[in-house]
Amino acid sequence: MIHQEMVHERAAVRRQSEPLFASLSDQLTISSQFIERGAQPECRAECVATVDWPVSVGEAQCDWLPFVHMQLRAIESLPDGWDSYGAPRPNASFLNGARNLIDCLSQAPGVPKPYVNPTRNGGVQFEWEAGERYFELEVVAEGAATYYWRDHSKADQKEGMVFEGDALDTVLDYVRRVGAS
Amino acid sequence: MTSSSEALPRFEKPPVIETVLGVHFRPLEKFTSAHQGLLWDRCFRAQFPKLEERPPVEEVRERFGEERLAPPMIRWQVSNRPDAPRLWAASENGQHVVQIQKNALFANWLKTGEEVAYRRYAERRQEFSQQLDQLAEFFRDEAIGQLEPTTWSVTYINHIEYEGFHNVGPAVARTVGAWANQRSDNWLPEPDKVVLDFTFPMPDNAGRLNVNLTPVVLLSDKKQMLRLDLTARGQLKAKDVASALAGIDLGHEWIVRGFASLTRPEMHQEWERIQ
Repeated sequence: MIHQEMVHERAAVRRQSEPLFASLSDQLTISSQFIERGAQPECRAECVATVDWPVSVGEAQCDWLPFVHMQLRAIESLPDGWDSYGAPRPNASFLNGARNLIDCLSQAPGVPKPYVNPTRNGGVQFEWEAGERYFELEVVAEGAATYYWRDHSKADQKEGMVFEGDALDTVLDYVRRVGAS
Repeated sequence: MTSSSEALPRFEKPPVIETVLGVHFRPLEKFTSAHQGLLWDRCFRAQFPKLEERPPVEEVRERFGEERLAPPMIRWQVSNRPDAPRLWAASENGQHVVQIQKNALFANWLKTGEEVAYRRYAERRQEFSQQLDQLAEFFRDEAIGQLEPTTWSVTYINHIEYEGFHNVGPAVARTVGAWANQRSDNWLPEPDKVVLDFTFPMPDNAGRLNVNLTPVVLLSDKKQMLRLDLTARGQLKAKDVASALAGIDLGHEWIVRGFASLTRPEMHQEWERIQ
């Protein structure tokens, strides 16, 4: 199965199991097996506001994503020693993490196209730069990435890490700040 | 009143039929479905021999302030690995269940019959604390990583009997102070369905109490019940087991005080409130 099909399949599975509040406790409780919810609400309006809907990918792709996927495929085919200084070939699982990370980020509105680079430790780095602002996100394992933010105009810089399963708010905030410069 | 040093309300015959304590934790790459099975075998099988597999439950993070109105949050999901199932392991008598998935541990207690005594929170907490310790120890022994809880949750399910769908309005009004079952005139008949949802934020965004009341029918004897579901949950700033248990204590307090606060004093007499 190619990646995009997997992505669509996973998104469909997630949509089916979206945790609306009323059904969430049903999933967790024993007693829910012994009742019939004749009058269960079909939806709770505030679910949208209170529940984090885990976003997989496969919907509403932005226009630059196919190009980034192409770059990632090119990186995947790099041989050992690709930088002429003995760097190992890119790690397949790191690349998978990077692909999923950028897929997730691409779901959010207002994310500009990143520059994509292989790193010497087998990972992938996404960079955004505009004016005085710079943000980089380096995938250092399948489910872990480091980030670095710099704004020369304010002598501001921040570093941090993000892991698989984490909300991407902070990362998106920095990416959008670059995009807004 | 949002927090108090007063003793918690206490009932001799509370309508609680199930309680669930749980934590989500940071997913660990090395905690595979094979390890879940190993964990069950090593730590839980003797007490929870009846095993089922179910789809994992997503972590719900309560959001506050403007964040509630923000677009849905985006998470980093690595998609080449199939979701490991949630192991649902039940005790022989069906009263206890432990649920294990790649990023969560839950423990249920179910009142399986009228004669079964209500299992008090202190016992439930102690059991769950031990289970968390077992999980942390397993992660250490298998070099999987460190247990870092991210979200705590407590759920109490209450069943309150009533008769006749046409009586659901008065039944809810008799149970919950927030619903008076009144209309401006006599034009509308009695409702045949009443569903109530409340959410109550805790101070300092420590968590939220979610309350849902809905009429249900028991499959066994077709009895009509009001199912009052109270779930408290919150995110952890300090990602350690002690903080998770402190969160669960807070959630328990909010559920007990919230239950007493929402329900009518006449019902408290029926449930034999003693403090």
